[in-house]
Amino acid sequence: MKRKTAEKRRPGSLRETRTIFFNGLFLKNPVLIGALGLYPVVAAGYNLRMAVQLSLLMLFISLPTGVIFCLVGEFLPGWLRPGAVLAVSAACYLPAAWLVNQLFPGSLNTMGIFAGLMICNSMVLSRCNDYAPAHLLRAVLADILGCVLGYSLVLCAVACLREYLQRGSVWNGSTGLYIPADRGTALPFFGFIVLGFLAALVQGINLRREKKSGREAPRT
Amino acid sequence: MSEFAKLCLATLAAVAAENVLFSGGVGFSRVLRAARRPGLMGLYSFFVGLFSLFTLLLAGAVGPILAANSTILFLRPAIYAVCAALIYLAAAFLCRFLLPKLYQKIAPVLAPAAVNCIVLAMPYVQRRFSYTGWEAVGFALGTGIAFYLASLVLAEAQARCKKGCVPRAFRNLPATLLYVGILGMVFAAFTGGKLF
Repeated sequence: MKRKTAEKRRPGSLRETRTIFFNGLFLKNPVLIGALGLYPVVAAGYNLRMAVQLSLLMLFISLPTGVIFCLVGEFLPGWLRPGAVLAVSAACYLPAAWLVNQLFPGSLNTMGIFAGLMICNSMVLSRCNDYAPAHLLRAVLADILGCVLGYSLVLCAVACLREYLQRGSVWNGSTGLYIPADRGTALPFFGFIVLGFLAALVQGINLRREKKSGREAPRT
Repeated sequence: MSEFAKLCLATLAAVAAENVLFSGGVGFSRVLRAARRPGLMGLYSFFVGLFSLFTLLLAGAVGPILAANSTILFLRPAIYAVCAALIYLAAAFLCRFLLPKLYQKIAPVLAPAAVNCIVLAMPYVQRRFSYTGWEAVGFALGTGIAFYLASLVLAEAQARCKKGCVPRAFRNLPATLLYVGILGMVFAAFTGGKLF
């Protein structure tokens, strides 16, 4: 409560909200920097359609769960909160899964086990258990939207590459090119390798930014 | 088949051929975090095994009821997650109020272990409803062992991936992910392809 009040008083909170959003999106990407919720990316993200469906499912689960725990989370004792977050996330899964199935008929069957596992995705649980109860609603929304968007971008990028290598096409449409690739590109190990290189790219960019800001700092 | 043989086979399956951590890519975020706290790895793995056992037994009891109704079948993942949440709450409540000293020690790993048991056990609970008592014990034991071994391997890997000889952009997480990818390749050859 004290932290929320302090945040409310802090000036320039709109800029902070924007920073929170862009941190989740790129600079502190939950997958590439935080290593959160890796399994949908490495195991299920092997075609773009599935990646989009999982991203939507994640959004529909994490947004209401985050809002609920932003409003009531601080009133729950710490030992009780993880169980409550899990139960609420499970409850939010039902309308979320129904909604995704309406948007993409039959998607629940194609997503299989990965749809159900989204309930306990570590990104959803960490944002709702640790971040949401201690922050204002605006910050929570920015954080969740930024993280989900950042997560989805990585998931879709990895899925695009893997689908293209497997079928020479993306989203079930031929691109007119075919790169022969082993079936192994659909296996989790390939996902880990691609993710490793993407994480190195983001880390490299962050290091370069740090170096640049370090050089510029003495001038100002 | 004797009960002991069933237990051993289920344990072996969880550690090797059905190892969801390396060949399924499931539950990795938490293994990475467990590997960063070497002092708590054993306790963490013990609770992963214990919660997996309770979840499997509960799922074994609820499974036939869910399988009988196609409408309820849609609710299955949510019901399992709620079951795991209830098991966690019961364990946390008992430890906190009856064994406060023990709770202080296990508090950092209790909640992640409960969540991880869903991630590790749910794929098999969803596919197979009929884990007999001993198979469930064996699978839970195997899950705990697999989690401990994976944490052990990653703790060593993370220590090496931090070293100065690794290029800065690849240091820590990127190198660890590449390491896991190569290790996963070995498990993929062992399991012969996709688990799910």
